[in-house]
Amino acid sequence: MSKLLTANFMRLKKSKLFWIISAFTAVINYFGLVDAYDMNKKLANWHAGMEDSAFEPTTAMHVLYSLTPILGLLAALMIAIFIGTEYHDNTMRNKLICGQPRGRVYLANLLTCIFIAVLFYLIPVVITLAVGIPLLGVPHVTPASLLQLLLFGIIGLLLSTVYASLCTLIGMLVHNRSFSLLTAILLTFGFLICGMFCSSRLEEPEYYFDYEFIFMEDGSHPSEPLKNPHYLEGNARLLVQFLYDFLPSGQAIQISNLDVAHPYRLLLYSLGITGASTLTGLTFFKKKDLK
Amino acid sequence: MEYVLQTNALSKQYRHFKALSNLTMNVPKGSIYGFVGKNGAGKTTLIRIICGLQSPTSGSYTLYDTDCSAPLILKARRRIGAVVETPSIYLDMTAKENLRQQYLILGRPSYDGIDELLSLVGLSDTGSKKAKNFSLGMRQRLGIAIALAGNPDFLVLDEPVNGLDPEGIVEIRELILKLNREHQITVLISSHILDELSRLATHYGFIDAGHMIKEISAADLEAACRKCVHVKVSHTAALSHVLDALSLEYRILSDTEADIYGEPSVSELVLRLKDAGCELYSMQEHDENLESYYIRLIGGGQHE
Repeated sequence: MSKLLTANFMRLKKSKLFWIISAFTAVINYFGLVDAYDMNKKLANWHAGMEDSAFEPTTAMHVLYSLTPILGLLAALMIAIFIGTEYHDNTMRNKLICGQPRGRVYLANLLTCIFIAVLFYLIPVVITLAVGIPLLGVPHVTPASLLQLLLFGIIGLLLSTVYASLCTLIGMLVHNRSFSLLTAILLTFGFLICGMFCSSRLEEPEYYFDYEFIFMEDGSHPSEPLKNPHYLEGNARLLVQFLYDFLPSGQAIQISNLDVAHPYRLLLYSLGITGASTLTGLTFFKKKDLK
Repeated sequence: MEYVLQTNALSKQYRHFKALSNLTMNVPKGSIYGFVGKNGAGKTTLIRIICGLQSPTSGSYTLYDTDCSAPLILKARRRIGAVVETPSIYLDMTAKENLRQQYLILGRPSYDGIDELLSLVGLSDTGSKKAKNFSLGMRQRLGIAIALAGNPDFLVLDEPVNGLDPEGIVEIRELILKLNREHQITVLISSHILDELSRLATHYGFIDAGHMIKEISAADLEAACRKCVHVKVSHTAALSHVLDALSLEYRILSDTEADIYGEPSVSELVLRLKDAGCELYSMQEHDENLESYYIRLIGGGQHE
């Protein structure tokens, strides 16, 4: 395994795409921090003239995991190209012909892809800690809130492994690099859209309380809060909540908002998806006819 | 005789297509085994199976006396180097980087020997040129260098001269001969270019529709490809009496056709046939080579 890992990391080191995505992640995170800093300044000036101002500036902790929702797309792009190249250039054969067991080849690629996804996840976190704290400052941190942030960080690490294991599964089983890239991007993009949909549906308020702005048919205002017809209830709410917790994109949105309802459930889901996809990938890759 | 590879009733089925059917072949140690067959005959399928890229549907093979179902087959496979169809090289890496990658996969302790390998295949001066900018011949040679990175005892080359220019073909031929003679590497080559193969091979295996039609050594093939005269006569029974009397070797093909080996005197043959009451309709000189032998074997349907 160590031989295959060494070869993979050597190849990763020479990959231009890997360095481009890493730099892109660092740069957009940096500009995000600078933008938050400018916004803080503007809002502080605006609130300065108000008497009962309740201005809460954006701190480094608020944006610590803000790039996590796009992690899936970045990981899908890199992993699909990284593994797909082995099929495109037929170099997967070199590993098998010289007697490397298929299971070992799969696991070595999986570990490399987990490294890639975790790195893409950690780059913005590290940049935020290094640049964001001096720039935006930190709020008053209690041990409990620090532990919570750490727990969210672990959720982020595990959801990175989910993306890595799913993209490895696609990359190892789909022979065509373009097709595997398209599949991985569409899957993660689909996850993102689904996660955003779940988030927006779950955030729908049950009642409209600002009913003084609502006019009834006769021109009068309603006398009590109006029930929101888009508010999800019963099994529909449970299903959407499950998807929001289960999908890595839903988890990413939750930790980027620092609002996670069931943190331990998320960890379990991530472990389950990683385990199931790895077992599936290993089983099919061992039986796969390679050209 | 010691064999590097032996297959036993090997079959491979892809859904409704049977690529290999009870194929049995034997590759002697130290030989250059020419694997001959038309497109779709099953050559590449067999190569993929012995390289571990695919599993047989039924049957088995042994590699260095290790059965394919034994766990030790992975160890036996470490003694193989192969170029299957197209060279397996990273296109965005240089020749040296490609070899370094293979050295890492093989777990070799250092990069020693890379320069010698590049020199052996004639790619010493490629420098920082990426493999994607290589000519087809250069890629083919790099593929062979990668196959040689693990110091294999058995080299499997699938169509190694496909698409090469005449100079490239000669270079690859010389390289294979050098590896076989100087490094005692057993080579299995599949090729369509029979003339080229006939300059290399010490043994042949002819495959058609997934079946092994014939295995023959180059010496036996040469004997089987002797010069002959193909004749058409009114009846071959009389012809055989005449040829026996002339002490000539021959082969009766039908009631009216026969092959006469050697160089018979035409006038004497004609006179004797006339005396025996046999009409001679035509005579054609045949100088059989690997190509005509193959065509006769595959196309004629009359297997020896």
